[in-house]
Amino acid sequence: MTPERWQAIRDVLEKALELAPGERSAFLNQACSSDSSLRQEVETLLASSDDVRSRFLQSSMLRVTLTPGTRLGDYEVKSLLGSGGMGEVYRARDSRLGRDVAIKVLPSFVSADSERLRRFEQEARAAAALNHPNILAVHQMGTYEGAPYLVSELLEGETLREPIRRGRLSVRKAIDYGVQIARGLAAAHEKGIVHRDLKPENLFVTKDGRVKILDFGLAKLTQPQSSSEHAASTVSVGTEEGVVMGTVGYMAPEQVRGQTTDHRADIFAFGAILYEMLAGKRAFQKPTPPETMTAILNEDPPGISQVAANIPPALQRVVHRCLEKNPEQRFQSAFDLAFALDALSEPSVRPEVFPKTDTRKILKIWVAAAVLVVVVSAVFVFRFRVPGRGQKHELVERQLTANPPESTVGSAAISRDGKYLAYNDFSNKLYLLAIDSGEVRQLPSSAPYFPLDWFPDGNHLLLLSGTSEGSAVWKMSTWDSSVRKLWDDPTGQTGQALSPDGSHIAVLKRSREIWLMGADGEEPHRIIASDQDLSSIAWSPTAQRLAYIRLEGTFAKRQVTIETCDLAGGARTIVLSDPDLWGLDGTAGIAWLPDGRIVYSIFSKEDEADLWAITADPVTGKPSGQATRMVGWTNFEARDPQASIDGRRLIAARQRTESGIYVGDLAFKNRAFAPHRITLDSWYNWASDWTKDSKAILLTSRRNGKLGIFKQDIGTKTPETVITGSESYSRPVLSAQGNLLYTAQSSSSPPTYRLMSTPEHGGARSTLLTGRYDYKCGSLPSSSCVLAELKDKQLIFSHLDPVTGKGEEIASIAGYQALGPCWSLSPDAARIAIVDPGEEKGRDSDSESGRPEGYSIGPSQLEMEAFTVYQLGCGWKDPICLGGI
Amino acid sequence: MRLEKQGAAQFRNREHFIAVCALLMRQILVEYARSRNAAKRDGGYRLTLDDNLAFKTRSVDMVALDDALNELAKLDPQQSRIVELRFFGGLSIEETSHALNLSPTTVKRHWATARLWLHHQMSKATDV
Repeated sequence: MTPERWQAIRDVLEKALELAPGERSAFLNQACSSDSSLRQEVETLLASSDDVRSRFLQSSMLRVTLTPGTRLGDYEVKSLLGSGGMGEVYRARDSRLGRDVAIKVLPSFVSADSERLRRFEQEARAAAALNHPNILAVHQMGTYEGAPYLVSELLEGETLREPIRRGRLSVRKAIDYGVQIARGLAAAHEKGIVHRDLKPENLFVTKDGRVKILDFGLAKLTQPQSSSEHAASTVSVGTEEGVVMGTVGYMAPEQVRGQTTDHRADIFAFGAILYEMLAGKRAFQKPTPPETMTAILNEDPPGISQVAANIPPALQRVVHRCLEKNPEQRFQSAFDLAFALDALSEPSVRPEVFPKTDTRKILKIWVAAAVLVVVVSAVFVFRFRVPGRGQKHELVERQLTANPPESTVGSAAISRDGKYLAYNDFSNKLYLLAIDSGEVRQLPSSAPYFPLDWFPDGNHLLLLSGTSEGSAVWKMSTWDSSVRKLWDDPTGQTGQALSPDGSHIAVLKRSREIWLMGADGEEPHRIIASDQDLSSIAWSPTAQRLAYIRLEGTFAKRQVTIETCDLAGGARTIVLSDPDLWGLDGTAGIAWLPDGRIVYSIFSKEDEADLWAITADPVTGKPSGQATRMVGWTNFEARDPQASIDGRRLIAARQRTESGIYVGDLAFKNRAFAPHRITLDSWYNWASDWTKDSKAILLTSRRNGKLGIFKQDIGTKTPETVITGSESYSRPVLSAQGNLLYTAQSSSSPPTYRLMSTPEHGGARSTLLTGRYDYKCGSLPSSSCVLAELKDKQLIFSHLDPVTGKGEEIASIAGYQALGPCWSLSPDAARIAIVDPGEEKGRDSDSESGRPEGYSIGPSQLEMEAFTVYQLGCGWKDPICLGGI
Repeated sequence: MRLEKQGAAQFRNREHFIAVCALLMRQILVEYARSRNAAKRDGGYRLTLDDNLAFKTRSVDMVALDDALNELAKLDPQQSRIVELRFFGGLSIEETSHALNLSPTTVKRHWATARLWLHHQMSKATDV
C-alpha cells in the first residue's frame, strides 16, 4: 500500500465512521463508485469497527486508573477530578479526619528509579512540612501498585494560567500574586528546597485569591540531573538515561545550559511569570523550543512598557532584575524579592528599589575585558517537499539543536529512517533527538563519542572517540548504551562512512588512503593509496561507488576535486572541481543522495559556506547537469550534510565563529574571578578600548552584518552605535584629548583602508592617513599616541597626533610578517611592550617570567621593550592585546 | 472552576516527558516481548503481555503491534506517532494534539482510523 492509497482509503473511512452503520452502505456506493477495490478495503476495515472502537488499544500502557471506592490507606477515592500527562488527580475522602483531599497518582514508571524517587519524596515531604500558606500542603505520600501518589489539600480555584489566558493582570493583582509566590519561594529556599519548574501551570489561585505553589520536588524527579550531581555520581550514569528537556519558556539560562542550578533559577522563572502577568504574553516565546532556548540565553525580553502601559518603572526593574542572565545579578533571595515587591504594593511609599550604592558597588573596579571566541553550531534538518510538476524541489528547513556557545554540537548523524538525530556536544554528552517531536534523550556515555552514522537496524550508532591516546571507532547500542570497540587506530583516521546496507565501512586513513572493511572492522583492505590529500568520504546510494574529495597543490594554488571510484578503487571519475571546496580548515563533508545528487559545501566567502548539489550516476560516477545551490546561510558555514536513506531528509550543521565580550572584576580577592558576558548578541564582537572613565567599552561588532563601532556601558546590556555605515569600521582607540581614532575599510575589492579621527562625542570625521595602520594612545597626562605600520617586514613606530596625523618616526624593528595587535603602549606613553619577532622560532619556558630582553631601539623618547612571553602574546584572551590597558 | 481544569491544563511540560517515555515504553515492551517470544518459540505460543506486566490493558501482541506500527509509519508517520503517544504514552486526545501540534479533531479521526488499520493488519499477521 502506498501513502497516497492509504490517504484515499482513510478519507472515505473517516466519513463512513461518522455515519450510522445503516447509512454506510449507501455512502460507500457513492464514494467508491469508480473504485471497487477501494470500497473493499474500506469495508474490510469497517467490519471490525465496533469491536475495535470499544476495546482495541483503548486502555493505555501508562495509566494507573483508580475506580471510585478504591482505598489508599485512610483515603477512599470518590471521583476523578482531572488528568494530565503526569497522572490523574482524584477527589478522595479522608475517613480518619473527615475531610476531602486531592490525590495525584503518578505513572508507575517514574518510580523505576528508586534513588530519584527517594529524593523526590524527601523534598516533597520537606516542602509539605513547611506548612506555608503559599505552598500546597501535602498530607501524605505512598505508592499504589507501584505508582507513587501524593495526598494534598483539596483546592478550589484555577491555575494562574487561566487568568493570564484571559488577559494581562492589573498591576495591583500582579504584585499581590507576586508577593505571595515570592513568600512561598522564600520559605522553601530557606530550607534548601528549589522548585526548578516554576510556571503559571504550577501556581494555583484559590477562589479567595490565595496563591499556592504546587509540585515542589516534582521537577527533580522528572528532569535531568544537574551536572554537578552527575559528576558526584558518575557510577550511576544510567540514571541520566531517558531525561528530557521540558518546555523551556521559564527555564533560567543556567538550566538551558545544563549547568548546576540553585534557588536563583526559581527567581528567574518568577521573573518570567511576573513579566507574563503584567505583559499578558510570555517573556520568551519563539516558534520552536530551540529558538526559545536561544532567546533565553541571548536576548532580553521586550521591555514591559513597550507591551503594557502604566507599569511603574520600579516594578519593571524588579522584573528585569529577576531576568538577569547571570544569577549573580538577580535578586539573591526570594525574601529580598518579596520585600521589594511588597514595598511597591504600598502606594504611599515609593522607595528606590535599587539604591545607587548597590549598583556602584558591583561596578567598582571593572578593569579586565576579555573576548571569548567560540564556534557556535546548530544542526538543521531539511525536508524535501515533493514538488508539483515543473517545480523545483523545495527545502523546508528546521533547526534541531540549540546548544549554548560553551558546549556546541560536535558531530551529528541522522538515522536511516530520518526519524532520529544522534549528536554530541563539547561537554562530552551524547544525545538522541526525535526529529518530529523534538524530544531529547541523553545516552549515558563515558567518553567523548562523536556520532558518525547509524546502522540500518536503527538501534546502533557508529561512533568515533578521540583522546590523546588516539582514536577508536565504536558501535553503540542506543537501546542500552553498551559500546563495543570496532578498531583502534592510533594513527588516526580522517573519515568513515557506513555503506547503505550497513555491511561495510569505508575508512579514510591518514588522509591518503581509502580502506574497505566489514562493519565490524573485519577483512580490512586498502583500495586507494594516494600521494595527495583525500577527505570527506561518502557511499553512492547503490553502494557501488565511493565519492571523496582530493586536494592537489598548495593551499594558495589548490585544485580541489570531488572524485568517485568503484569498490576496488578503480574506474575513477571526476565529478566537479572547485578550489572553494576547501575552506580554511579543510573540507566540510559530502553526502550522496538516493536521487544521485552529491551534496557538498562551497566556501563562498569568509565565514560562509553554502551547500551545493550536483548529480552523479551512482553506478558509473558520471556527473550530469549543473551544480545548484541548495542552502546558503548568511554569515554561517553549512557543513557535514547527511541524508536519510530515502533521501527525503537531509541534515547539515550550521556553524560560525562568534565572540562575546566578558567583563570581570579584578578586585576578586576572596572570590573566584568571574567574568560575565556583556554582549548578548551572537555576533562577532571585539573589545577595542575603554573609555577613560573605565565605565564603558568601545567595541567592534558585526551585529549589523558589517563591522561597526559601538560603545557599551558595562552596566547595560546593549551597546549604542558610534560609527556604522556603508563601509566597515573597526579598531576604535580613544585618545586622552577625547578624539576617537578608527579604521575605515571600503567595500571594494581589494579594500582600501583609512585611519580616521573624530571627536569622541560626535563631530566632523576626518581622514588622517590612507593605508593600514595600528595605533594606540596613552592616558593623561602624557596624551601621546603611537602609530605602527608595516613596511618591508619592518614594524615602524611613529608619533601620532589625533588631529594632524603622523609625526616623527620613533623606531623600526625588522622581522615582522604582519601588522598585529602584539604590541602595547604603556599608559604613560613612555614605553612600548612588544612581542619579540623571534617568537615564531620558539622560546624556552623560562621566558615566561615576562623579563624584558632589554634592548631599546632608535632615537626616541620612548623606550621599547621586547617581550618574549607567549602568554602576553596576542592570544584571544590576552588583555595586553586589547589596548588601552 | 475546580481542580479538573488544573488537571487538563497542567503539565504541558510533562507531555514532552511522556512523549519520550512513550517511545521508550514501546521499545521496552517490544524488546521484552521479542526476547520472550524467542525463548518461547519452541513452546509454540505467542506471548501476550498483560499477564506479565501489571498493566490494565487488554492483551495485545506487542511484537505484532510494533511491526504494524512500523508499517503504518510508512503510510503516515504522524498516525503511527499518535498511536504511540496514546497507547504507549497514555496521552489523552487533547494532550496528543498539544504534543503533535494538531487539532484535537484531527487526532481523533486519525486515532480512529489508525486503530482500525492496525487491528486489521495485526489480525492478518496472526492468520498467516
